[in-house]
Amino acid sequence: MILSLLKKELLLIGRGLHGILSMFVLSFTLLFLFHFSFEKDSSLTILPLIGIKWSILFITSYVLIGQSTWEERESGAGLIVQLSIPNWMIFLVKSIVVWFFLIFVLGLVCLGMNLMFSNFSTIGLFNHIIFLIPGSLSLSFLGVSLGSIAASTRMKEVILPLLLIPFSIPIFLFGLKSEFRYIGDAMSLNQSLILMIFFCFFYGGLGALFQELQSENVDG
Amino acid sequence: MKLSQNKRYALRGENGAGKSTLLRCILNFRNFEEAISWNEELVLPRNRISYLGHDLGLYNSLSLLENLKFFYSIAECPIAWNQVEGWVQKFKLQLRWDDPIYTLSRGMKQKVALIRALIPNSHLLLLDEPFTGLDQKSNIEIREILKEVSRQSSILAVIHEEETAYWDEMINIAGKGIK
Repeated sequence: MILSLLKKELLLIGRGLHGILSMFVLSFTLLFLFHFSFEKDSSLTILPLIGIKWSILFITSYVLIGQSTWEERESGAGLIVQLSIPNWMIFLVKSIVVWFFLIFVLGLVCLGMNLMFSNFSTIGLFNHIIFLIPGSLSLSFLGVSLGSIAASTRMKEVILPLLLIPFSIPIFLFGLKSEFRYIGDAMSLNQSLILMIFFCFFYGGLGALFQELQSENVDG
Repeated sequence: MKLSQNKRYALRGENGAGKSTLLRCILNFRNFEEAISWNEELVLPRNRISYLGHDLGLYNSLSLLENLKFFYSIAECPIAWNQVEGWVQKFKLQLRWDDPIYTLSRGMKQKVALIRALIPNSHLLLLDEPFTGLDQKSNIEIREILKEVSRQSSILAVIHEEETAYWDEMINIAGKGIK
Protein backbone atom coordinates (compact mmCIF):
# COMPACT_ATOMS: atom_id res chain seq x y z
CA MET A 1 0.00 0.00 0.00
CA ILE A 2 2.82 2.39 0.91
CA LEU A 3 4.60 1.49 -2.33
CA SER A 4 1.45 2.24 -4.36
CA LEU A 5 1.13 5.60 -2.62
CA LEU A 6 4.80 6.35 -3.23
CA LYS A 7 4.49 5.50 -6.90
CA LYS A 8 1.37 7.65 -7.26
CA GLU A 9 3.00 10.64 -5.55
CA LEU A 10 6.13 10.33 -7.67
CA LEU A 11 4.03 10.21 -10.83
CA LEU A 12 1.83 13.11 -9.72
CA ILE A 13 4.68 15.44 -8.83
CA GLY A 14 6.90 14.30 -11.67
CA ARG A 15 4.21 14.61 -14.30
CA GLY A 16 1.39 16.74 -12.95
CA LEU A 17 1.51 20.34 -14.13
CA HIS A 18 5.22 19.87 -14.91
CA GLY A 19 5.99 20.20 -11.20
CA ILE A 20 9.68 19.39 -11.33
CA LEU A 21 10.28 21.45 -14.47
CA SER A 22 8.58 24.54 -13.07
CA MET A 23 10.58 24.24 -9.84
CA PHE A 24 13.79 23.94 -11.81
CA VAL A 25 12.97 26.96 -14.01
CA LEU A 26 11.92 29.06 -11.00
CA SER A 27 15.07 28.24 -9.03
CA PHE A 28 17.44 29.00 -11.88
CA THR A 29 15.57 32.18 -12.80
CA LEU A 30 16.23 33.44 -9.27
CA LEU A 31 19.88 32.44 -9.54
CA PHE A 32 20.29 34.25 -12.87
CA LEU A 33 18.57 37.29 -11.42
CA PHE A 34 20.99 37.51 -8.50
CA HIS A 35 23.94 36.64 -10.68
CA PHE A 36 23.32 39.43 -13.20
CA SER A 37 22.14 41.94 -10.58
CA PHE A 38 24.96 41.61 -8.04
CA GLU A 39 27.64 39.09 -8.90
CA LYS A 40 28.53 40.84 -12.16
CA ASP A 41 29.68 44.00 -10.31
CA SER A 42 31.08 42.63 -7.09
CA SER A 43 31.22 39.09 -5.74
CA LEU A 44 28.57 38.31 -3.14
CA THR A 45 29.97 37.07 0.16
CA ILE A 46 29.05 33.67 1.53
CA LEU A 47 26.42 34.96 4.02
CA PRO A 48 23.99 36.47 1.45
CA LEU A 49 24.57 33.41 -0.74
CA ILE A 50 23.34 31.18 2.06
CA GLY A 51 20.34 33.50 2.43
CA ILE A 52 19.60 33.17 -1.31
CA LYS A 53 19.86 29.38 -1.04
CA TRP A 54 17.35 29.22 1.83
CA SER A 55 15.00 31.64 0.05
CA ILE A 56 15.01 29.35 -2.99
CA LEU A 57 14.23 26.43 -0.68
CA PHE A 58 11.19 28.25 0.66
CA ILE A 59 9.85 29.30 -2.76
CA THR A 60 10.36 25.90 -4.38
CA SER A 61 8.78 24.10 -1.43
CA TYR A 62 5.75 26.37 -1.63
CA VAL A 63 5.36 25.82 -5.39
CA LEU A 64 5.81 22.07 -5.11
CA ILE A 65 3.40 21.66 -2.21
CA GLY A 66 0.84 23.95 -3.84
CA GLN A 67 0.95 21.95 -7.08
CA SER A 68 0.82 18.52 -5.49
CA THR A 69 -2.14 19.37 -3.24
CA TRP A 70 -4.00 21.15 -6.03
CA GLU A 71 -4.68 18.01 -8.02
CA GLU A 72 -5.69 15.99 -4.96
CA ARG A 73 -8.15 18.71 -4.02
CA GLU A 74 -9.65 19.66 -7.38
CA SER A 75 -10.21 16.13 -8.63
CA GLY A 76 -11.65 14.89 -5.34
CA ALA A 77 -9.22 11.96 -5.49
CA GLY A 78 -7.73 12.85 -2.10
CA LEU A 79 -11.08 12.17 -0.44
CA ILE A 80 -11.38 8.77 -2.16
CA VAL A 81 -7.86 7.77 -1.09
CA GLN A 82 -8.69 8.70 2.50
CA LEU A 83 -11.46 6.08 2.44
CA SER A 84 -8.86 3.33 2.19
CA ILE A 85 -5.66 4.70 3.68
CA PRO A 86 -5.07 6.29 7.09
CA ASN A 87 -4.44 10.04 6.98
CA TRP A 88 -1.08 9.82 8.72
CA MET A 89 0.22 7.43 6.06
CA ILE A 90 -0.88 9.70 3.21
CA PHE A 91 0.77 12.63 5.01
CA LEU A 92 4.02 10.78 5.61
CA VAL A 93 4.38 9.46 2.06
CA LYS A 94 3.53 12.80 0.44
CA SER A 95 5.98 14.62 2.72
CA ILE A 96 8.78 12.21 1.90
CA VAL A 97 8.18 12.48 -1.86
CA VAL A 98 8.05 16.30 -1.66
CA TRP A 99 11.27 16.19 0.36
CA PHE A 100 12.93 13.90 -2.19
CA PHE A 101 12.11 16.29 -5.05
CA LEU A 102 13.19 19.32 -2.99
CA ILE A 103 16.57 17.73 -2.25
CA PHE A 104 16.98 16.89 -5.94
CA VAL A 105 16.26 20.45 -7.04
CA LEU A 106 18.34 21.97 -4.23
CA GLY A 107 21.27 19.75 -5.21
CA LEU A 108 21.05 21.19 -8.72
CA VAL A 109 20.69 24.71 -7.31
CA CYS A 110 23.86 24.25 -5.24
CA LEU A 111 25.73 23.08 -8.32
CA GLY A 112 24.39 26.07 -10.25
CA MET A 113 25.40 28.45 -7.47
CA ASN A 114 28.84 26.90 -7.45
CA LEU A 115 29.21 27.89 -11.11
CA MET A 116 27.59 31.33 -10.88
CA PHE A 117 28.90 32.71 -7.59
CA SER A 118 32.64 32.72 -6.97
CA ASN A 119 32.41 32.76 -3.16
CA PHE A 120 29.95 29.89 -2.97
CA SER A 121 32.75 27.31 -3.09
CA THR A 122 34.58 28.82 -0.09
CA ILE A 123 32.80 26.19 1.94
CA GLY A 124 32.33 22.65 0.60
CA LEU A 125 29.17 21.30 -1.04
CA PHE A 126 28.59 18.98 1.93
CA ASN A 127 28.45 22.01 4.23
CA HIS A 128 25.88 23.63 1.97
CA ILE A 129 23.66 20.56 1.92
CA ILE A 130 23.90 19.34 5.50
CA PHE A 131 21.47 21.88 6.97
CA LEU A 132 19.22 21.97 3.93
CA ILE A 133 18.35 18.27 4.35
CA PRO A 134 16.59 18.59 7.75
CA GLY A 135 15.36 22.10 6.84
CA SER A 136 13.63 20.89 3.68
CA LEU A 137 12.16 17.88 5.52
CA SER A 138 10.64 20.21 8.13
CA LEU A 139 9.22 22.40 5.36
CA SER A 140 7.78 19.35 3.59
CA PHE A 141 6.05 18.16 6.77
CA LEU A 142 4.71 21.62 7.44
CA GLY A 143 3.59 22.33 3.88
CA VAL A 144 1.86 18.99 3.33
CA SER A 145 -0.05 19.18 6.60
CA LEU A 146 -1.13 22.77 5.91
CA GLY A 147 -2.01 21.79 2.34
CA SER A 148 -4.45 19.15 3.55
CA ILE A 149 -5.91 21.56 6.08
CA ALA A 150 -6.35 24.08 3.26
CA ALA A 151 -8.13 21.42 1.19
CA SER A 152 -10.74 20.85 3.86
CA THR A 153 -11.55 24.52 4.38
CA ARG A 154 -13.51 26.82 2.15
CA MET A 155 -10.60 29.24 1.80
CA LYS A 156 -8.47 26.71 -0.14
CA GLU A 157 -5.98 28.71 -2.22
CA VAL A 158 -5.68 31.52 0.33
CA ILE A 159 -4.95 29.56 3.45
CA LEU A 160 -1.78 27.76 2.32
CA PRO A 161 0.48 30.83 1.96
CA LEU A 162 -1.29 32.48 4.87
CA LEU A 163 -0.22 29.70 7.22
CA LEU A 164 2.93 28.46 5.53
CA ILE A 165 4.82 31.76 5.75
CA PRO A 166 4.51 32.42 9.51
CA PHE A 167 4.92 28.76 10.47
CA SER A 168 8.08 28.36 8.39
CA ILE A 169 9.87 31.39 9.90
CA PRO A 170 11.43 29.38 12.78
CA ILE A 171 12.87 26.89 10.27
CA PHE A 172 14.56 29.71 8.35
CA LEU A 173 15.80 31.53 11.41
CA PHE A 174 17.32 28.44 12.97
CA GLY A 175 18.50 27.00 9.63
CA LEU A 176 20.32 30.18 8.67
CA LYS A 177 21.67 30.73 12.16
CA SER A 178 22.93 27.13 12.35
CA GLU A 179 24.65 27.41 9.01
CA PHE A 180 26.25 30.79 9.86
CA ARG A 181 27.44 29.41 13.19
CA TYR A 182 28.84 26.31 11.53
CA ILE A 183 30.88 28.45 9.12
CA GLY A 184 32.41 30.32 12.06
CA ASP A 185 32.80 27.31 14.32
CA ALA A 186 32.96 23.82 12.82
CA MET A 187 32.56 22.28 16.29
CA SER A 188 28.96 23.52 16.44
CA LEU A 189 27.83 21.03 13.78
CA ASN A 190 26.41 18.40 16.14
CA GLN A 191 24.54 20.90 18.28
CA SER A 192 23.05 22.74 15.28
CA LEU A 193 22.19 19.56 13.46
CA ILE A 194 20.43 18.10 16.48
CA LEU A 195 18.36 21.27 16.70
CA MET A 196 17.37 20.99 13.03
CA ILE A 197 16.50 17.29 13.44
CA PHE A 198 14.37 18.22 16.44
CA PHE A 199 12.50 20.61 14.13
CA CYS A 200 11.86 17.70 11.74
CA PHE A 201 10.33 15.63 14.52
CA PHE A 202 8.38 18.60 15.80
CA TYR A 203 6.84 19.47 12.43
CA GLY A 204 6.38 15.80 11.52
CA GLY A 205 4.56 15.12 14.79
CA LEU A 206 2.51 18.28 14.51
CA GLY A 207 1.56 17.41 10.92
CA ALA A 208 0.51 13.84 11.82
CA LEU A 209 -1.55 15.23 14.69
CA PHE A 210 -3.22 17.76 12.39
CA GLN A 211 -4.15 14.93 10.04
CA GLU A 212 -5.80 12.88 12.74
CA LEU A 213 -7.64 15.82 14.26
CA GLN A 214 -8.75 17.17 10.94
CA SER A 215 -12.50 17.00 10.63
CA GLU A 216 -14.12 15.44 7.59
CA ASN A 217 -15.30 17.63 4.78
CA VAL A 218 -19.04 17.21 4.69
CA ASP A 219 -20.10 20.40 2.97
CA GLY A 220 -21.56 18.49 0.01
CA MET B 1 -34.49 6.26 6.55
CA LYS B 2 -33.27 2.67 6.46
CA LEU B 3 -31.17 0.92 3.82
CA SER B 4 -31.19 -2.87 3.46
CA GLN B 5 -28.58 -5.09 1.92
CA ASN B 6 -28.54 -5.83 -1.81
CA LYS B 7 -31.05 -3.21 -2.80
CA ARG B 8 -30.95 -0.25 -5.14
CA TYR B 9 -32.22 3.02 -3.72
CA ALA B 10 -32.80 6.19 -5.69
CA LEU B 11 -32.57 9.49 -3.87
CA ARG B 12 -34.51 12.33 -5.45
CA GLY B 13 -35.27 15.92 -4.64
CA GLU B 14 -35.01 19.46 -5.86
CA ASN B 15 -31.69 21.21 -6.36
CA GLY B 16 -30.26 22.19 -3.00
CA ALA B 17 -32.57 19.88 -1.06
CA GLY B 18 -29.55 18.16 0.51
CA LYS B 19 -29.17 14.94 -1.51
CA SER B 20 -25.41 15.25 -1.97
CA THR B 21 -25.00 16.39 1.63
CA LEU B 22 -26.86 13.31 2.82
CA LEU B 23 -24.50 11.11 0.81
CA ARG B 24 -21.47 12.87 2.29
CA CYS B 25 -22.90 12.47 5.79
CA ILE B 26 -23.31 8.73 5.25
CA LEU B 27 -19.77 8.59 3.85
CA ASN B 28 -18.48 10.32 6.97
CA PHE B 29 -20.81 8.37 9.25
CA ARG B 30 -18.28 8.32 12.07
CA ASN B 31 -18.95 12.02 12.59
CA PHE B 32 -22.68 11.39 12.97
CA GLU B 33 -22.78 8.48 15.37
CA GLU B 34 -26.09 9.53 16.88
CA ALA B 35 -27.82 10.00 13.54
CA ILE B 36 -26.40 7.13 11.46
CA SER B 37 -26.00 3.57 12.67
CA TRP B 38 -25.30 0.18 11.12
CA ASN B 39 -27.07 -2.97 12.15
CA GLU B 40 -25.18 -5.57 14.12
CA GLU B 41 -24.74 -8.00 11.24
CA LEU B 42 -23.16 -5.35 9.10
CA VAL B 43 -20.36 -3.72 11.05
CA LEU B 44 -19.04 -1.53 8.34
CA PRO B 45 -15.40 -0.52 8.29
CA ARG B 46 -14.94 2.82 6.63
CA ASN B 47 -13.22 1.46 3.56
CA ARG B 48 -16.20 -0.69 2.63
CA ILE B 49 -18.17 2.31 1.40
CA SER B 50 -17.55 3.55 -2.13
CA TYR B 51 -18.33 7.05 -3.23
CA LEU B 52 -18.78 8.65 -6.62
CA GLY B 53 -19.43 12.36 -6.27
CA HIS B 54 -19.56 15.39 -8.52
CA ASP B 55 -15.76 15.45 -8.35
CA LEU B 56 -14.93 12.20 -10.03
CA GLY B 57 -12.06 11.22 -7.75
CA LEU B 58 -9.56 10.52 -10.52
CA TYR B 59 -6.05 11.92 -10.94
CA ASN B 60 -6.18 13.95 -14.15
CA SER B 61 -2.50 13.76 -14.98
CA LEU B 62 -2.31 9.99 -14.48
CA SER B 63 -3.42 7.62 -17.23
CA LEU B 64 -6.58 5.52 -17.11
CA LEU B 65 -4.51 2.41 -16.34
CA GLU B 66 -2.44 4.16 -13.65
CA ASN B 67 -5.59 5.45 -11.98
CA LEU B 68 -7.36 2.11 -11.93
CA LYS B 69 -4.20 0.22 -10.89
CA PHE B 70 -3.66 2.68 -8.04
CA PHE B 71 -7.19 2.47 -6.69
CA TYR B 72 -7.07 -1.31 -7.14
CA SER B 73 -3.84 -1.55 -5.13
CA ILE B 74 -5.20 0.43 -2.17
CA ALA B 75 -8.54 -1.41 -1.98
CA GLU B 76 -8.74 -3.85 0.92
CA CYS B 77 -10.54 -6.67 -0.89
CA PRO B 78 -11.01 -5.57 -4.49
CA ILE B 79 -12.93 -7.35 -7.21
CA ALA B 80 -10.94 -9.49 -9.68
CA TRP B 81 -8.74 -7.43 -12.03
CA ASN B 82 -10.15 -9.23 -15.09
CA GLN B 83 -13.55 -7.90 -14.09
CA VAL B 84 -12.11 -4.37 -14.22
CA GLU B 85 -10.65 -5.09 -17.65
CA GLY B 86 -14.02 -6.47 -18.72
CA TRP B 87 -15.79 -3.24 -17.79
CA VAL B 88 -13.12 -1.17 -19.53
CA GLN B 89 -13.70 -3.19 -22.69
CA LYS B 90 -17.46 -3.03 -22.32
CA PHE B 91 -17.20 0.77 -22.24
CA LYS B 92 -14.79 0.67 -25.21
CA LEU B 93 -12.09 2.42 -23.22
CA GLN B 94 -9.35 -0.14 -23.87
CA LEU B 95 -7.75 2.02 -26.57
CA ARG B 96 -7.35 4.82 -24.01
CA TRP B 97 -5.52 2.76 -21.34
CA ASP B 98 -2.40 4.90 -21.49
CA ASP B 99 -4.04 8.28 -22.07
CA PRO B 100 -4.12 10.78 -19.20
CA ILE B 101 -7.58 11.28 -17.71
CA TYR B 102 -7.69 14.94 -18.75
CA THR B 103 -7.75 13.86 -22.42
CA LEU B 104 -10.97 11.84 -21.98
CA SER B 105 -14.44 13.21 -22.66
CA ARG B 106 -16.85 13.92 -19.78
CA GLY B 107 -18.81 10.73 -20.42
CA MET B 108 -15.64 8.63 -20.57
CA LYS B 109 -14.41 10.12 -17.29
CA GLN B 110 -17.76 9.29 -15.73
CA LYS B 111 -17.42 5.65 -16.81
CA VAL B 112 -13.86 5.42 -15.46
CA ALA B 113 -14.99 7.00 -12.19
CA LEU B 114 -17.78 4.48 -11.90
CA ILE B 115 -15.33 1.60 -12.44
CA ARG B 116 -13.10 3.20 -9.81
CA ALA B 117 -16.03 3.25 -7.38
CA LEU B 118 -16.82 -0.41 -8.07
CA ILE B 119 -13.25 -1.66 -7.56
CA PRO B 120 -13.28 -1.88 -3.72
CA ASN B 121 -16.16 -4.39 -3.78
CA SER B 122 -17.94 -2.30 -1.18
CA HIS B 123 -20.95 -3.09 0.95
CA LEU B 124 -22.48 0.25 0.14
CA LEU B 125 -22.16 2.32 -3.03
CA LEU B 126 -22.97 6.01 -2.77
CA LEU B 127 -23.43 7.44 -6.25
CA ASP B 128 -24.14 11.10 -6.84
CA GLU B 129 -25.78 11.46 -10.25
CA PRO B 130 -23.97 8.45 -11.75
CA PHE B 131 -25.51 8.89 -15.21
CA THR B 132 -24.24 12.44 -15.80
CA GLY B 133 -22.72 12.92 -19.24
CA LEU B 134 -23.58 9.44 -20.50
CA ASP B 135 -25.22 8.58 -23.80
CA GLN B 136 -28.27 6.31 -23.86
CA LYS B 137 -26.30 3.14 -24.65
CA SER B 138 -23.82 3.73 -21.83
CA ASN B 139 -26.69 4.59 -19.53
CA ILE B 140 -28.23 1.16 -20.18
CA GLU B 141 -24.86 -0.60 -19.80
CA ILE B 142 -24.21 1.05 -16.46
CA ARG B 143 -27.65 0.16 -15.21
CA GLU B 144 -26.91 -3.49 -16.11
CA ILE B 145 -23.61 -3.34 -14.26
CA LEU B 146 -25.20 -1.75 -11.20
CA LYS B 147 -27.93 -4.40 -11.25
CA GLU B 148 -25.25 -7.08 -11.23
CA VAL B 149 -23.28 -5.32 -8.48
CA SER B 150 -26.38 -4.88 -6.31
CA ARG B 151 -26.54 -8.66 -5.80
CA GLN B 152 -23.68 -8.17 -3.35
CA SER B 153 -23.86 -4.48 -2.42
CA SER B 154 -26.44 -1.87 -1.58
CA ILE B 155 -26.65 1.15 -3.84
CA LEU B 156 -27.87 4.62 -2.92
CA ALA B 157 -27.88 6.88 -5.95
CA VAL B 158 -28.90 10.49 -6.40
CA ILE B 159 -30.90 10.72 -9.61
CA HIS B 160 -33.04 13.26 -11.41
CA GLU B 161 -34.86 10.92 -13.80
CA GLU B 162 -38.51 10.08 -13.29
CA GLU B 163 -38.03 6.38 -14.01
CA THR B 164 -38.97 4.21 -11.03
CA ALA B 165 -39.03 0.62 -12.34
CA TYR B 166 -35.26 0.08 -12.16
CA TRP B 167 -34.95 1.05 -8.50
CA ASP B 168 -36.10 -1.09 -5.58
CA GLU B 169 -37.12 1.95 -3.60
CA MET B 170 -37.43 5.68 -4.21
CA ILE B 171 -36.48 8.11 -1.47
CA ASN B 172 -37.59 11.70 -1.89
CA ILE B 173 -36.04 14.58 -0.04
CA ALA B 174 -38.52 17.42 0.31
CA GLY B 175 -38.21 20.75 2.08
CA LYS B 176 -39.00 19.29 5.50
CA GLY B 177 -37.25 15.93 5.32
CA ILE B 178 -37.29 12.47 3.78
CA LYS B 179 -40.46 10.87 2.37
